[in-house]
Amino acid sequence: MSEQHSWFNLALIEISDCSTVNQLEQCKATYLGKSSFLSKELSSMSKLSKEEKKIKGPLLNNQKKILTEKFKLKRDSLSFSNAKTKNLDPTLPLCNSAFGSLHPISQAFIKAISFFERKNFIIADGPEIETEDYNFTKLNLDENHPARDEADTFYFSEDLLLRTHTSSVQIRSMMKHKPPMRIISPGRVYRKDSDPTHTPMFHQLEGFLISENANLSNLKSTLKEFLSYFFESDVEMRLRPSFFPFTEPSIEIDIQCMNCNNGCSLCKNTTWLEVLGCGMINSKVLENVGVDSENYKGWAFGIGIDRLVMIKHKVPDLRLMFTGNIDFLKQFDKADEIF
Amino acid sequence: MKFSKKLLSEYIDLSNFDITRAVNTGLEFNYLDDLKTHIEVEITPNRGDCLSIHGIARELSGCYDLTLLKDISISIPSQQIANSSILIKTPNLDVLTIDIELKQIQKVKTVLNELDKADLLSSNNETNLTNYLMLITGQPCLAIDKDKIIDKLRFEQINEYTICIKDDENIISKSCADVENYYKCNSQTKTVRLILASFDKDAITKSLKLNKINNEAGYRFSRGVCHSIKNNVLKVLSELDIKYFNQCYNSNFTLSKLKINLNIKKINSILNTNLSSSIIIDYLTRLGFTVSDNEVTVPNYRFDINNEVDLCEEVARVYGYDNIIEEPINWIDTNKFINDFKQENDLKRILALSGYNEIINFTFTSEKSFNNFYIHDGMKIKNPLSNQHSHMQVTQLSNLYNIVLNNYNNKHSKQKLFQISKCFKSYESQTTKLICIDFDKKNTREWNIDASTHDFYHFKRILTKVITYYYKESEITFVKSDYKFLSSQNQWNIVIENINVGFIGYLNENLSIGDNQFMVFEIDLNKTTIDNSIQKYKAISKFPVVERDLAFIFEEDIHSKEVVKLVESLKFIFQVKGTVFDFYNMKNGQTSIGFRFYLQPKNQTLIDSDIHNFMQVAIEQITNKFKATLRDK
Repeated sequence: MSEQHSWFNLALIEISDCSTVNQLEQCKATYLGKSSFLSKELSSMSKLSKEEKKIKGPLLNNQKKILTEKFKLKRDSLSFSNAKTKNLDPTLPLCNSAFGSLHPISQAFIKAISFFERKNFIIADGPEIETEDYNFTKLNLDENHPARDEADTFYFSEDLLLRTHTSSVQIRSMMKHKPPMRIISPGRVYRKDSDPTHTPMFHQLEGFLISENANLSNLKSTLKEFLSYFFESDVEMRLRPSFFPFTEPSIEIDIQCMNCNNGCSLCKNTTWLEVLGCGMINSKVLENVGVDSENYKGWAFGIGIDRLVMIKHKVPDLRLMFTGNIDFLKQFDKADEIF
Repeated sequence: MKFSKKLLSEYIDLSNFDITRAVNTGLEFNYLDDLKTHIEVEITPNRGDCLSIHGIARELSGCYDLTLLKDISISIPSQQIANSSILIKTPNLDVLTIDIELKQIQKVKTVLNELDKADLLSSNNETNLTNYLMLITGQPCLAIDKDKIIDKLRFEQINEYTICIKDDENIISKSCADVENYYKCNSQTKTVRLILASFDKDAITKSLKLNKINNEAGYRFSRGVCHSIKNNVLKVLSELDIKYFNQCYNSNFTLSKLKINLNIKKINSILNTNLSSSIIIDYLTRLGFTVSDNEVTVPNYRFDINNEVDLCEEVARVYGYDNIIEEPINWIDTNKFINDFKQENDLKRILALSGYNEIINFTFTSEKSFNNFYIHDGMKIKNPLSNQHSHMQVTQLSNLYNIVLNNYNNKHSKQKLFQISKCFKSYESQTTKLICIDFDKKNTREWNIDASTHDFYHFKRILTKVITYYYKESEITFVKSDYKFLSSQNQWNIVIENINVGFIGYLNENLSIGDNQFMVFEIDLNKTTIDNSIQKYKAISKFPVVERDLAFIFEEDIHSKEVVKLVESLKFIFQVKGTVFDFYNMKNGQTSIGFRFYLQPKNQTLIDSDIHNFMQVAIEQITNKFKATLRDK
């Protein structure tokens, strides 16, 4: 191997071995600098004959070009890899989370509705500003019923009000469809109340079934299954006789407190939590909407979704749900219901 | 209702019974102390007959077959004497009056402890006496100074809805549940007259409601007071060793026994049970019903029993709801349909997956908020909870503005929020709307912020996702709008198929929060015309696409889409599709936009003259219509 080829090969090996930009700069000075072998060879070209210049000139220029290119590529490569290892910090926080969040009430609705859809219930909607007739009269609330009082219900006029329950959708649905039917109606409702466990606007899920052989046994089974599905565990429940003008018999359902064994503030030391009201639809209600109460029976339930959310997530104050506080909302950004 | 366990135990044997079990039959007892001596019971509003110690004892005895320790049977007053000292001028009324010497009433002191436990303790003895009688029997009693009564007691309906008690000159009680001051007993009183009345339940409820009477006596009257419990009051007075005299009674009450057919099959059908008639009759008999020849006679104190299903409820209470077996419902075929709820949930997911947080806020708003947002057509609530909740929202923006402000004050300078809620203009116009807000610092260039996630065009991308999903339409037209709550320069109506479905823009500078930018869009989710038709394949040309770029400088603000649409609408032998590949606002106010046009022939390969012709026509049209100059020039 000639001297010219040996320095060139050595230069290529050294460039390849450089692991830092500094090493590379030193290497470059050695092989392309003013005192390098190549510079000396090029400056001595003038002393060569024409024949020698023709042979040596292109060879040296080509070697210079190759080395310059190799140095450039190596520099780029070292700069990139140094940047990778030195400048990036994968632990730095993101300015925004990858995902936003669904409100826990929306999550609860989605979960509840997915249950009832599997049971062949269809969803119905109705107006939030409702007539007194649909909200009270057709639901068998007599004209002296305390719920009609202005102390309990928001009115726009004598006849128009903010619905106090989603049961008004039950009336609209029964007037629109013929039995048998299975319907649920989720939505906002309004009552004139405000304290840690009551807000003037809250959410209900109303459900009802009308068929020739509807009975309490079906109602009990459906609600037990629903509550276990919603709370993702086997819930123990008890049924209490109650009174609602639109159902007869009327029942309230409590579940065993999930927060304690012996009584706590959540269950008011009773170990039971009231979660919903239900019952067989009062025959007067069926008659009010033209359903043949001799041949058809029905059951209905009304669930306070906000209350279920409070119990499930142990939210102490219902009002927190409606503040739009991002610190509150972001706590619910990993729910299955989003994905 | 509160009382001591000791008091209830005088009337019923509770020695082997845990009263908290009674929750199964509708009486929810809770102990108020660790020693379990002080009780509170919740009673459903239809059970006026249980609003007394007598009533509760009777109910527990019936439901659980417990032994009664005192005779609390009810008998109707033996003599129905039309007494001349009581005049009745209202239907279905039944009145008993007795007089008691004031010194006799001192004996009520023996039960003050019981009244204290019941939260019925008063500073004067005649009130304590009437409260005790009400606690034990359920009968509300009025105590008045007998010597102030001029001649006769009159029960009159002074107008359509008000029943009152008068003497010959004055009103003694406007509502029958309280006493006018003049007639109240005082230190000068010698004799107290107790008035024990029972009314038609609906009539007295209406009267009490209109007169806004909200006391214990009124509550009991409105739940129903049986006409025949007056004798029990006399029994209790005797037990207290209080002597009464001058007993007067008058009534125009007509006793009618309600009889209901006993339908065993219906009861078993509703409860999904197989109870025999003898068991059902046993249950009903224990509760005071009389059964004969499949006909049930309802006791006169049970105002809540009116029909067959009420009897079913009675059977269910005694049988126990918890004993009803659970039987899953059968599957039925229902017509599945795409519902609004599913679509709204999908929208929520799209936004949450795009980094937005859902909020749920009240739909109420205030007049002040309306004024701040220049809104004048909201519905006003007649009886609002407060001035903050006096109107219904027309747009969600005014309420969400306050939420953004609160979060900003809690050091959240970046907020991406959305809400789907109803907005109200009238009963007929209740519209579901989606609002989306992107609130962030202006010109953010920090290490951890991707600048592209907070600019108008990113925000428009979110809008496009929503519109494409919900309206099945990605073709949005933006028409300059004029909302006072939005920035005068940057606001547009969102138009889809010639229907205005909402707005997008920056918030008005006067409403700005800190140095941040506040972008918002709100769209109407009721104007949807969902195209559920199956999408059809469109033929794809086999000939190569030719791409040509044209850049222009525009003197005035234009919408790039209009330029693209203009060129796409030009008629050639090939199809033209355009897009924007470069855009910047120049310092001198001009805008430079680079357009890329794709020319695709259907039937032949394009030749140079076709392309040249296109370029010439396109340049001419754009420069003429939009006062533009070709950038290369």
